[in-house]
Amino acid sequence: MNPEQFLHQRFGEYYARNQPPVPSGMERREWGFGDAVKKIAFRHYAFRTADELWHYLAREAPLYISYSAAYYKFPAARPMPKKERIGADLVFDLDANELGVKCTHPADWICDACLEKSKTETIRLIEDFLVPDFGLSKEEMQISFSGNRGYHVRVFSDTVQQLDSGARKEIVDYIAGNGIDFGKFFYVSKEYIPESPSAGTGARGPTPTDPAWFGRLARSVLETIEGPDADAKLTAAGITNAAKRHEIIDHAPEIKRQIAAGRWDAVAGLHHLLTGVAKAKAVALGDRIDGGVTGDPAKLLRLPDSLHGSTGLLAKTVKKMDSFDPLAHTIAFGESPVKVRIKNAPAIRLRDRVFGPFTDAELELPEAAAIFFVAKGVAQPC
Amino acid sequence: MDLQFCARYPFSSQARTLLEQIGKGEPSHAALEQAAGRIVSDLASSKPHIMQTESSLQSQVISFALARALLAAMGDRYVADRFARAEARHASAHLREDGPETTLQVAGELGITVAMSPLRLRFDQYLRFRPPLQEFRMVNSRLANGEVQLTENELVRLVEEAARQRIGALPPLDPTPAMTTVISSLRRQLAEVTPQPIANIPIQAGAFPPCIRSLLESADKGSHMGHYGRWALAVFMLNIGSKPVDAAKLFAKQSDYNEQYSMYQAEHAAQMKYKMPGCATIDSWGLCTAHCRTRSPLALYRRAAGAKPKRRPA
Repeated sequence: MNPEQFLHQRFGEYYARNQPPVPSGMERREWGFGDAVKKIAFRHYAFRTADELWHYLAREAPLYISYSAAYYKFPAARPMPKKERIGADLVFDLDANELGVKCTHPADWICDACLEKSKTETIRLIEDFLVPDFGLSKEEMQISFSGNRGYHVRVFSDTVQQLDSGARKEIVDYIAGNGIDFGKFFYVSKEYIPESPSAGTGARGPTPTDPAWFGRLARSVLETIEGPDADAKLTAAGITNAAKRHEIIDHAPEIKRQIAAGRWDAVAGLHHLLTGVAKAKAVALGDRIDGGVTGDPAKLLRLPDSLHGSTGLLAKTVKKMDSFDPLAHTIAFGESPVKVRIKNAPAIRLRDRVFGPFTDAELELPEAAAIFFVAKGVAQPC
Repeated sequence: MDLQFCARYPFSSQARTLLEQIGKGEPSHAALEQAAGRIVSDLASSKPHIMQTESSLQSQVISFALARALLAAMGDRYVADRFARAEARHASAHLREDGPETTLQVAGELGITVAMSPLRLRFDQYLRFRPPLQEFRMVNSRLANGEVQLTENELVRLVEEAARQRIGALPPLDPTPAMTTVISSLRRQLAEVTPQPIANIPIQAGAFPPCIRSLLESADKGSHMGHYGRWALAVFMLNIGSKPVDAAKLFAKQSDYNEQYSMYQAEHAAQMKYKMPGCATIDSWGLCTAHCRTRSPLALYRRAAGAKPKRRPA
């Protein structure tokens, strides 16, 4: 049996027994399905009821199931403008490959380190940006594992439904810190106001309690100049001159006091430092084209709790991010042995067992592991 | 009824009520001519001007409404956009004279819900009405709990943009015979005040795929292009070797063209080395015009231009 047939067969068996919950307004969404070649090979589908969709899944056993962020009047119509968009959720795609994690495995593989990185970034996206800055409620969000290398966040709030693509791109830029203009954050005070805590002339800027990027920059600078690893953090933030770093570290308590009052004269190498910390605080959104997923309301994203054709793992809805284990809580298949031939494959942990690395091996693996290696394209079912 | 308010903000619901009171009878030729004159003068001068008070306040409200009717019947997006921009600029000049209370009143008329002390606006409204300029990037704004803090001056700019959007939204209209006569003379007058076609692109234009040709056509006509259309066209041109400065100039006829902002965007795209997306993406953006069964617009261009195709990974 070729790998694709094998996956279809197992996925079909899975969907015959398991029915992924359908999203709100499912009949107004556009659906798309993928095969071994493309994650979205067929699109412009629409289903009136959950049953209709579930029958389709059990019959066709698609390797990837996605639906649109947008709601349409005519979700199956083509070309796109004929669909007549009614609204669209705000969606984010955080993919380990875009987050700059330096893993030793090939780019299409996954490991605990890169999955952890995409998890931290997802938490930061929500806790540092969507909730405090955008005032969005967690009740109106859904987080799901993508099924492979990252996470998807969907915001259903009414506030976001009518945003056009330009507005969505602006949100991406906000979160990614694109276009930060330090000139807007700082000014030179020439006035002397004795009562003011920031009395005196000189560079004035944000304080740690300011909102948005203002406070975020001030707080990040404070985090960077303090602690036992301040030297390393300053270097990472772009202060390459050792003397400058030492000057900052030696004066850290005084600088902290000054920044709390919005005075920035004492900070040497300010521009480098700010650029460095801004980069560190931004969330790298997994986007091929600068906000391509978030910025495009027509985008199709994996159906939560459906199978991912590149791993056989479930794109699980995540209730508690902290305790979520993407290589354990997402396992859909069982333990029954499946014989596979593997030419060359890195190792993978599934629950508490590590499988591989394998070179020229023919062996029996538990079904879930066998499906993982076959789906990754490194194993042949025998 | 505050006639002065209606004349200064003729897009307001107060002005609409006034027009309803006046009644909908067939407009006179003179009134239509006056409306056409208003369009020409708006397009001829880029400077905002405070409305003259010589003609009666009521006739100013009428000339605004008739000007929009003429534009709706003309169906020329470029002219309508320029008119909307100019009228919105007049309104914001008036707002600066009239002060913050009027600004809040007009904002309310345009569906902008402003919270006070400090002035704040929900982020979705901010994004809808912010002018497309570097200084209004949300990343540099004070955004907290879903609200952007604004200065009075920034609020005026947002109200101006909201007014522009409302004025520019024109439902199609069949011209009456009287309007047709005025429109044909209006077209002649407008030809003198609208810019010349954009410079030719120094690249094998014959090889452009249909979606790009259609985008270029929109750019040349000055019809409104959405963000994705502009992005796709600019990135395509950059990918085939245009300079950012040339890519930026493609949008010179867009009614909201801002040289500085356009240059910034084009240079950013060049710097980030953005790649032209494939046909599936172009289709999903609603920009595909021909379904030419190719992989990507860039591949099609390369083939048509006789360049070596980029190798596909094994």
